Amino acid sequence: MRKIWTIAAKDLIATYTDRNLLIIMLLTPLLLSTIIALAFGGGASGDSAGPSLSDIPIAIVNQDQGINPAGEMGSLLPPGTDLRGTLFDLSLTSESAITGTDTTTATSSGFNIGDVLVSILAPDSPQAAASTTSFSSDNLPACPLVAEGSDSGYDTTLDQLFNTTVLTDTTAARAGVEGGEYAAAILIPPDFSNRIMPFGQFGAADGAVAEIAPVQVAPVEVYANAGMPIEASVARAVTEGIVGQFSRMGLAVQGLGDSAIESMGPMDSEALAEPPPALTAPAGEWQAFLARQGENNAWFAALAGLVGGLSGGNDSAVTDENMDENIGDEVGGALACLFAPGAGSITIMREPVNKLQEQPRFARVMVQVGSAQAVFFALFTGVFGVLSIYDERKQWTLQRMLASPTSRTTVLTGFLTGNVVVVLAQLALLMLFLTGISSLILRRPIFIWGGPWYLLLLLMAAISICVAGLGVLVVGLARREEQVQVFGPMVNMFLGALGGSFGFYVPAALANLSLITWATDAFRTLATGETDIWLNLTVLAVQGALFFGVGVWLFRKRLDL
Amino acid sequence: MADNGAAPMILTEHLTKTYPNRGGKPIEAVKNVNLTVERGEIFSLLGPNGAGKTTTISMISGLIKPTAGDAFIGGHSITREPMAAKQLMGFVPQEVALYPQLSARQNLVFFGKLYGHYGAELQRRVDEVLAFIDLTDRQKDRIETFSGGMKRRVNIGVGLLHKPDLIYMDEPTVGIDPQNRRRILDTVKQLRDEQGMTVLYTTHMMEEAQELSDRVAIIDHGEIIALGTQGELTQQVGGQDQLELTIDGAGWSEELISTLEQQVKGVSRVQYLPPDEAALDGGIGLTGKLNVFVGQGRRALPDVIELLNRAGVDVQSVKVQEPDLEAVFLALTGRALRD
Repeated sequence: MRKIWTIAAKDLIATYTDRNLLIIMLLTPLLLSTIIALAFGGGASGDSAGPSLSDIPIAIVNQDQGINPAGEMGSLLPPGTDLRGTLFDLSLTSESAITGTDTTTATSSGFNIGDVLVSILAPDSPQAAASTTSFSSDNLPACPLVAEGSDSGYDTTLDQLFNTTVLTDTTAARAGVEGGEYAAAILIPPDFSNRIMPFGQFGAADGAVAEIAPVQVAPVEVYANAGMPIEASVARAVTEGIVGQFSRMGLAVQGLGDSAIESMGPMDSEALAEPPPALTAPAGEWQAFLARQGENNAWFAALAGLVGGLSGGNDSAVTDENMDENIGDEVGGALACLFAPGAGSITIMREPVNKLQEQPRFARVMVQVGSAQAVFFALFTGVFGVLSIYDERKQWTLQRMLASPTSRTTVLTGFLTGNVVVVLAQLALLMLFLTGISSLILRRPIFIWGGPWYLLLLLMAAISICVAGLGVLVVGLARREEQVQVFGPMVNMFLGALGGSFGFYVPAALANLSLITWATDAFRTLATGETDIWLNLTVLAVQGALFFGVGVWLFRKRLDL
Repeated sequence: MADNGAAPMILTEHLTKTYPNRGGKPIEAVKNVNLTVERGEIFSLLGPNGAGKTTTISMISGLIKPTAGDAFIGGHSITREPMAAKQLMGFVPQEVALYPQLSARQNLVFFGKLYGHYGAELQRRVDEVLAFIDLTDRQKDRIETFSGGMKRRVNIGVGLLHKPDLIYMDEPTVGIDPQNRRRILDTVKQLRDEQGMTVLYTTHMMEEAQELSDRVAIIDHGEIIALGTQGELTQQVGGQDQLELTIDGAGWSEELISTLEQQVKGVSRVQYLPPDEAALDGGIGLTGKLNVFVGQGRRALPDVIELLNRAGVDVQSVKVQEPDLEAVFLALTGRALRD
């Protein structure tokens, strides 16, 4: 055992007293990381004070052309009964309509869910104020991102989280992201409402029974700024959360519509006892009309229920029990969620958001870039560290070791241990230097890697074993030194490309093939205050064990002289 | 682990190494080598490059496994008790087997630990070795900053660190200047004379083997072709002294050849090269060259000169060439050592 450490320590000393090696192993990744972090994360002048995530700059472009559901729904009515534009206005005007206080007048014949999204994310914008569906900020309750009573103590609302600029041009929005002005641009496509709301796609069959097209996944694009990955991911998560609620609402409406149409059956046009009110009549007058018709005609009763249901009112005048139950539980619930996104999928962000607020942007970028560069360069140390056995053989130091009373197993174990220790030291030094550089640039002491220290150590140890194991495998697979010189860097570059070391990202399924992905993800998780990196540790350790097992089996013949 | 004092320092029995040769006959690098090296002697393995010296020493030191046979170091089999055998020997390879980025002291400490020395004892030994190789003042300097001779001295120092009973030196003077070469040769003699160490020395330099060795084995094509002291070897090949005389060709007559062979004791053969042939053999102008092969050259020289003077032949220069290992090798193989 003592001799194993002697050999390992010799490698450590020999490596860390070689100036050229130090330039490659430490200086290069440090310089690269710092330059990239300065370029994309701002410097001391950028956010040295550590801006809060409560001001994430985003842009939103609403291209949604909306739908005219009343026109579609009107097709369900008998010919000559022109209810277009009115029925749906009834359903989506205001709470007063829902509760039947009959004070609100319909203001539009169209419906635009993109406007709703703008209203939520940019409640103070002129576009939001002009939103036809009137989801103004005044109507929004202050929505905490976490449920009340959470121990995180985080109480930022969406208003505070984003600093939203509403644009009309997607090109300008993308340019703003690329120029670093926005963390992300949220681009709402023209058919957004159409995809979300199934009644935008009523397909009448025989003029009597209609079918509702299935709700589709709404393709809102979140164009992210790679230099502000954390902010962009927050914007993406919030957007996905809200759009998810829209989709759920769409599904609820779809279910409601399906059952309503099924229950309505063919309409008896002769049963219309009185002419409908004028199109400009108050909503209450329309509801009363439908209710009266419904008393004697099941078809109109169902229609009234559907209209009331769309408005989310549990207090609808319509009393059909089945309809009311659907409305209350599904549609009303989905709409309610719109105003309390914290109750939905956004809650997954609550802890990271809380901790990340404490980190300046530069430090956050440094964690991402620095860890990717550190592991990438460690890969080279791993491969070329093992390759040095050829040098030892050439300069006869290997023979000299084997001529001493030291077994081959001890020499091999010492050699491989040395490689792991060298990589571990490289990672540890890079982590320290990167946090030191961050402190210098931000002009205040900061430890960018989070913690706890034992998890950081475990992580670095797992990476070192994995990296050194890969080195053994690569050298073991190659028949000659020259093959390693070509093959080794190729493997490393491939893993670096998959793992995001070159600044671009590949789909997760591919990225997960790279140990760099698992390593950087774990570093990022620790930096955000989370500690759940056990899966990463397991993946790295298992990979390392496999690499070592196969590699050593192939490599041991390299000690034959 | 203890040395068996009664056993010879090195004993090889039918030591053989064969390498496979794809599609051809296996290459026999070392063939059936039987050697006995006694304690306290300098034993040289002499042969041209590629003769099998390094392969032999690699098997004896446990670096490569013999295809057949075995070697015993102080009675310990290198194949069955390698750790005990290796503990008795120091190894000085032909290459400078040191870490260039480490200092002289760091190299010594590292290899000292591999021989099981630690702590104060190791530091003391390192100090002693540094003093012995005269590099105490440069001990903290990196090896890469040393001259070739200094590197060679550290290379030897590593082999001496654990005070071995036996030290292998594989061509330790290759590529260094005469001054450092002299220093190393003196060190080798010092190890035997002052420390009683056994030295197994391989070289292709005949002069080194002649100067250092108590006994010499000549190896060629993987086989030991001669073994013994230098005198025994020259006797084995019937070695004679050669008197080279430069004479005035004008006074020469062919009759003098038989006169010399008959009248001077020990002369076996006389060869005369006239001026034109002598010029081809380094002669100048009208001088001829006379080669007289005789058992005791220095003793016969006065009689040869007197006889030539009486015959009126003017002797201009004389050189006595005694038989050496080069001559032995030449006689045994028909080739020069450096061929």
